[in-house]
Amino acid sequence: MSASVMYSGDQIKTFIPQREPMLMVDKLFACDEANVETGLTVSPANIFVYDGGLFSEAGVIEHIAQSAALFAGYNDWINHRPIVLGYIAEIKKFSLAAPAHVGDSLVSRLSVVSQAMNITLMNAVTTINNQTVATCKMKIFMDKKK
Amino acid sequence: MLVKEFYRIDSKEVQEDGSVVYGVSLNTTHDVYKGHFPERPITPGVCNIQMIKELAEDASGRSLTLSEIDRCRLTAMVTPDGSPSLNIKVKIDDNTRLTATIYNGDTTYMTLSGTVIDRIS
Repeated sequence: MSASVMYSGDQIKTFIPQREPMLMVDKLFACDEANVETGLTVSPANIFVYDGGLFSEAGVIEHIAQSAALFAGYNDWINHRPIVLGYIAEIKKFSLAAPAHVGDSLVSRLSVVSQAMNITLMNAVTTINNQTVATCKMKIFMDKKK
Repeated sequence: MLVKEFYRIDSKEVQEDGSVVYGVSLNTTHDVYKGHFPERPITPGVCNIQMIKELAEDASGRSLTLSEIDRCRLTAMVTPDGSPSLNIKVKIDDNTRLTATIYNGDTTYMTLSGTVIDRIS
């Protein structure tokens, strides 16, 4: 089960550089030096929602990527470092177990697999109502010279 | 197109090996760039993935779900200012194995290998 919400909505903008309409995280449940737990409730206005309410897998992947950005940004923030831009460098072994839809609340748990220079490899599991909907490994490049 | 007016298809060529090469132009003033990122427009990697999926749908005449990605590498950054024109090559084998490359001239922006299935909604 998820912990209670630490930050939500516009508060999330403190930690990540993405803004509407490309904002794909709206909750931070927990974060430490190696793990993060985030959430996104899929709104009808989300740009990755099809007519009929299906949330595109691209939206799920961006939610995972921004969860990694939130992990990095929160850790930068508590350590008084500037928030930097991060980019997806590589996605491996992404598997969509079930589709997400408007109104669903995605919860993602990411953990650091390895960190070297500006590249962080994270393992991600995304659930809806505790059912796994997507898993992947994602390499994020942090552009620290911003 | 899911993200409305995000790009335009300029050309489509079916190759001898069954792959299809598209020429696309990005809409450089799209709202996406207001949020990704303010003051530094960069085409989101997932928008590249969404374009690949939609062109695979065009090439196959099917509505698809990208159910698995074995590997997707972003080897160069796509920006609306620096790379508004792109080639996207898609190939579907055995109705399900998708390989795709986004490139322009000598620059490769993205390679993807994965699995597509008829869209689950």
